[in-house]
Amino acid sequence: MGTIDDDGFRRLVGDHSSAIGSYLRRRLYPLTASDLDDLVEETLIIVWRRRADIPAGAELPWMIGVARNVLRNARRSRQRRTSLESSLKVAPTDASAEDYVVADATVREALARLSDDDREIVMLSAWDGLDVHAIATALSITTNVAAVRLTRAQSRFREFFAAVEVA
Amino acid sequence: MSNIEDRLRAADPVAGRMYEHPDLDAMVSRITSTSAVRLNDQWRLFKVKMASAVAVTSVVMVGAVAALQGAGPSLPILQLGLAKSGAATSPSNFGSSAMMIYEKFVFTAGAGLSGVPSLATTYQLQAPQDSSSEAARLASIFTVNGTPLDANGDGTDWSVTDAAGNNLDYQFYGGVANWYYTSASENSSSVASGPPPSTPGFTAGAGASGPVPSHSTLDSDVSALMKRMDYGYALANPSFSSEAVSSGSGTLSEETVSYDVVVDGVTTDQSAQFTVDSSNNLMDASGPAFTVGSSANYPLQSPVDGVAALNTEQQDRFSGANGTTVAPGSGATGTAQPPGSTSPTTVPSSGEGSSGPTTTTTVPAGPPIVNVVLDGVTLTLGTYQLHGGTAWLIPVYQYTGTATSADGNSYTGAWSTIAVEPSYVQLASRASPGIINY
Repeated sequence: MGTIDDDGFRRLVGDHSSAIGSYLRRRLYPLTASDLDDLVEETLIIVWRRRADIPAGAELPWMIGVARNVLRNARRSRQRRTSLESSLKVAPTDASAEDYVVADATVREALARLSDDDREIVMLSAWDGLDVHAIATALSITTNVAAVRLTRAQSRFREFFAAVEVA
Repeated sequence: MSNIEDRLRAADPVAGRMYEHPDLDAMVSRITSTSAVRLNDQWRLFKVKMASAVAVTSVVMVGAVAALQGAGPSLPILQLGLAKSGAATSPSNFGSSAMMIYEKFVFTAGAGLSGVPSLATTYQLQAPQDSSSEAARLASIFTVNGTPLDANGDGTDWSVTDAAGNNLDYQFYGGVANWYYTSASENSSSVASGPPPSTPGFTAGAGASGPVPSHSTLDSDVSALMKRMDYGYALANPSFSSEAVSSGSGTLSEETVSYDVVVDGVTTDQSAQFTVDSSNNLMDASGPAFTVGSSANYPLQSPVDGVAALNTEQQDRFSGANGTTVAPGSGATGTAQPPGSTSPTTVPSSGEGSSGPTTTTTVPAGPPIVNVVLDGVTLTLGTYQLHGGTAWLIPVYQYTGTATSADGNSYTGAWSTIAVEPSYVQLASRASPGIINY
């Protein structure tokens, strides 16, 4: 794909910033609104820098791949505990925590029992709305591998779901 | 769409509330007009802000610097990154990589857990030196005749596909090399593509309309295949499952066997799986690709101390959030606390001026409490990337126990924490290789 210009980038952001922010919001908690805005902006900064690499027709999954790496770095930064131990406080004006968690207890428990890889691919399919080709782009794997992994992960989710329901 | 899929989709936590940036135009203008140096400053500021946030993983943290200084000079500090994906994680690990459960677990050590520390071995995982050659070698074992192609242009991930569409992928995932075989019939949505090719060394099966091979036959064939692959691990604890797939040609049967990957007799968080049809031809298979390199014995905290570490992680998840923080062990009786029992609390506050009226501020509810009695523990090996990018197997305590949630429901679950004595563990302070550099 040829390098996009400012207008092209603006259109890209307009089309996909909502999906990127929602992707990040689903996966990192607790997160204030301003922290989420920062993460989205950091993702788009990298997209802008690497705009020559954006694959035509697969812009969103490619950008989700960028967001995944931003998320990894954000989590890694969050894991550092300073001696001053200041905590991330949930701002009183933010929506309550329960608003952003998985309300269906069976779904929540079944997802919890999956491995990190399985959970991510199930979420990419069910919540981020990616098909196997898009999942392959987002995860930097082949479509074959994405298809096999998704099938297996969905099967495991159904098994865990059934087990939790019975319990 | 099945009921399960419906419920999964309906459970999307941001459904109906998709993210909207407050000022897209301003952000885009900022991004497209800002120099590279300025962008780096922004990221550093952001990371400093995030570094002060609550830790959300189950990795045991080092305490004061003095503890590091007290470590034995012969044992290096394990500077850990994120856990490898690919293994079943416990509910307490869920938050480390995905949407967090808004519940606070309060763990109690059951009477059977030991308070005695011990020693265990860590292992460095070594991937084959030349990824392209390894992909070619594996393709040959699976009789996929083709030339390895660089999958991502980075020289580490390779793919081999033959004329019929059978495929061998060799990819790094979560810091460890993995191999994936898929037959053309597995890749296609139509059985008109034909059955998978026969797998060299596999016992001839009953045929397309016959039963799937017996467990012992499949296990034996897999064992022979793994000998040819010659990796530094064993497979154990086979788990079998069958599936019948309906098609225009009739019903086709598949048998899948999954194994735990075991090193020196200890179960790891990695696995391998193989699926065959009723002709005992491989439809797909996958597993890790490593040999074991360096190893070192590290002191372990006791299983009882590991439970305390789990409680510390829970405290850190929710300390500073609205609501009262419950001290560890408060649920020792196993009694569930009703929802909202930790809140709301009211605190008096004064208005402006010393003689101003006193008003009451209500602190919103904290997370519901789930009391967990951990009565079983197994020492396993978890895969972690160390600072510098090498992958290691590190001792991990896998606990099992009974959780009683706020609504009174009970369920059994599993939770884990690093078993290595905390003074030998430290989180990496720099990004691991493979993360986008900017």
